[in-house]
Amino acid sequence: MDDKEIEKYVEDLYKELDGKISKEELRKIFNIWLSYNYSPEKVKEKILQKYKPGRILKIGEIKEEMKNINTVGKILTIKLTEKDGRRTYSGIIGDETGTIPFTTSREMPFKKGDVVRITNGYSGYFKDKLRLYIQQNSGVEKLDNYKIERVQTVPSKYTIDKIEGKSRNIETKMRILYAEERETNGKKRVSGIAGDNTGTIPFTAWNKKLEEGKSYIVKGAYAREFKGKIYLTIDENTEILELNEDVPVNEKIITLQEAIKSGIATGWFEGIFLEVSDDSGLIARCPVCRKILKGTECPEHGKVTPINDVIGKATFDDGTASGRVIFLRNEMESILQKNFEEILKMVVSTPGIPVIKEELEKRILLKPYRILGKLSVKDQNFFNITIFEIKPIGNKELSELKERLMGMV
Amino acid sequence: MAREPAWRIFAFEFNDSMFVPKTGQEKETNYILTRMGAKINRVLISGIIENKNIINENTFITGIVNDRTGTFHISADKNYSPLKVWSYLFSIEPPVRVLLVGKVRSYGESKNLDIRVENITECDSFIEDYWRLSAAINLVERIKIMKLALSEEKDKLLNMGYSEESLNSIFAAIENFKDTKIDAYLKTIKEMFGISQEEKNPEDVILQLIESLDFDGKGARYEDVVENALKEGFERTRVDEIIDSLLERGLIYEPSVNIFKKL
Repeated sequence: MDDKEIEKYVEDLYKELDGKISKEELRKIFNIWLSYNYSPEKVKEKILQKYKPGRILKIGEIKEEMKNINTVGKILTIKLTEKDGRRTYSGIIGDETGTIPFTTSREMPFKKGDVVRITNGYSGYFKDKLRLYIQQNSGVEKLDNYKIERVQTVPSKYTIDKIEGKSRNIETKMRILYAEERETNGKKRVSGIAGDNTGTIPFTAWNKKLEEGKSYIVKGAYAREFKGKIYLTIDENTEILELNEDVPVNEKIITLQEAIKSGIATGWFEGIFLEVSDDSGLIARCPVCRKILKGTECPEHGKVTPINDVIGKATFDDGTASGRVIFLRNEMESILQKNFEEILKMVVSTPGIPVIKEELEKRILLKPYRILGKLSVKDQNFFNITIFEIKPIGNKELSELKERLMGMV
Repeated sequence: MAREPAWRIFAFEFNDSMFVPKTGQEKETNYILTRMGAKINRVLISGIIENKNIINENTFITGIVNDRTGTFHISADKNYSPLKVWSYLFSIEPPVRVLLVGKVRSYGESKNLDIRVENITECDSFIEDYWRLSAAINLVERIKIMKLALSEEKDKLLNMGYSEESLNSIFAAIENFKDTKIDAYLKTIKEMFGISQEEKNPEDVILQLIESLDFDGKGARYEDVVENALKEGFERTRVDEIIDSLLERGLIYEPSVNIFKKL
């Protein structure tokens, strides 16, 4: 740290302390603390605590391991928990500079929106989050005439693997690996899978435009947990910015057995197609509900004119378990490298031959692939895999395997 | 019953195995148990079909597949095997490089090991390389668990996330084969892929672990270091020794109790 920088701190401190302490004195104290290997920020804090003990901190100024904290904030959430006869209040308070979670066993009969003054608190980290602790001898008082109009809620930055079921106000960078648009009650809903270099997560976005393959920065999303799986929700208040560069996505391969055991529904798997099922081929669907029909009769919509479609089914095995993969029209078109018209033509020109199954076998049978898929477990012994992305193993993947082996032995 | 997974396994391990005794139930699945604790019904193998024999008045085919570590005996039956498999094996002229999936069974008085082919295709050397790497990685994984099983309690391994089923097979293999021959197996793999026999310096490994497990800059937790070191094949007492030595030599320090940080 050079003299110029120190001078800036001295200048700040001089102003902050209303000139009560001479710059010369401040410079001397500052250098002493610095020589004890404290960071300049910490030194500034120590000096302020000594010479201006009662000062009110903005919430954004609260740092780790501070004592005698005096601050004023608006209660954003508050809840009371009772356990073994102990009453604990916890919640979040904020002002225009930031927010902080608080915890106390003091009585705090306040509600959301109240502005409170807290004196003699202290701060510290718990579970990776900076928190404000209010002690028995702290002062807590509601301020009726003090208004805080705007609270700066700074989203916390997460990598995808760190998002938990309880995570709120999430900021994350992600690439959309798969997206599907639907309309529910007049609201546009995009759901799919997003990923970064730490993992993947299923998401649902309301009235937002998110396109497959594009990368975004998302601010203010929240997570929820359903049946042990974590989902990311992007609602109308979430801010979304499209990024010009791609967020790198780590294709961390997990085994099917790990996925089944841990309840991870979506991920990259690597394996081989061991069998193509006989019922791969053309199918007829009800034009209304898209159900697969046996004839021209839909159980729900009666006599209909069915629409043609194509489906493929195959057994995918990664050495730890196997599941049934279903290829819908899009995947079939890209695997067979033919559009639907050409597939139809191929069937018509080879009557009596299960040509679709044979073509599918030619392309995928006993060949290694990486797939991004979602497992739906029917029962313990059987599950389907819906495929979002599929790609053959190439030289790149082969060298990755080689490296992995080298690292293991 | 869940569909049996197709184990990627080398011939030298496949042949170093025993049949799992049957309990006498109807339609019982055939299993073999290998020295490294793989309990196998279905396999995925790759190699060269060296020769084939059509026997029993053109109703049965046997063949030998060489995967460069040893040979597998394979078979197909005109009446029971898929037509596609039968006609493929019937028509080929060895040598042919193949990838195949099949189920283990025993045949003859001497209970020879045999793979009944379910699906087979000719493949190129790229696919064979891929298969060899997968098989090697899977085998090293098994060796890793086996090493742990030799030094740690089963409950501890369950907590580390290994499945009950795989652990049961591993412990059964230890009991049955007595000598686990781990070193010989590892040597075979290293030779196969031209990996030098040079051992990594154990102190470097632990030092690297302490560095990489220091997620928040405050240091790595002792339990995390031990947990990961066990997976690398260390014994707990050895880890303690190394940590002490690193502390003594001033390469790491202990900012708070049981937290270590690289200097």
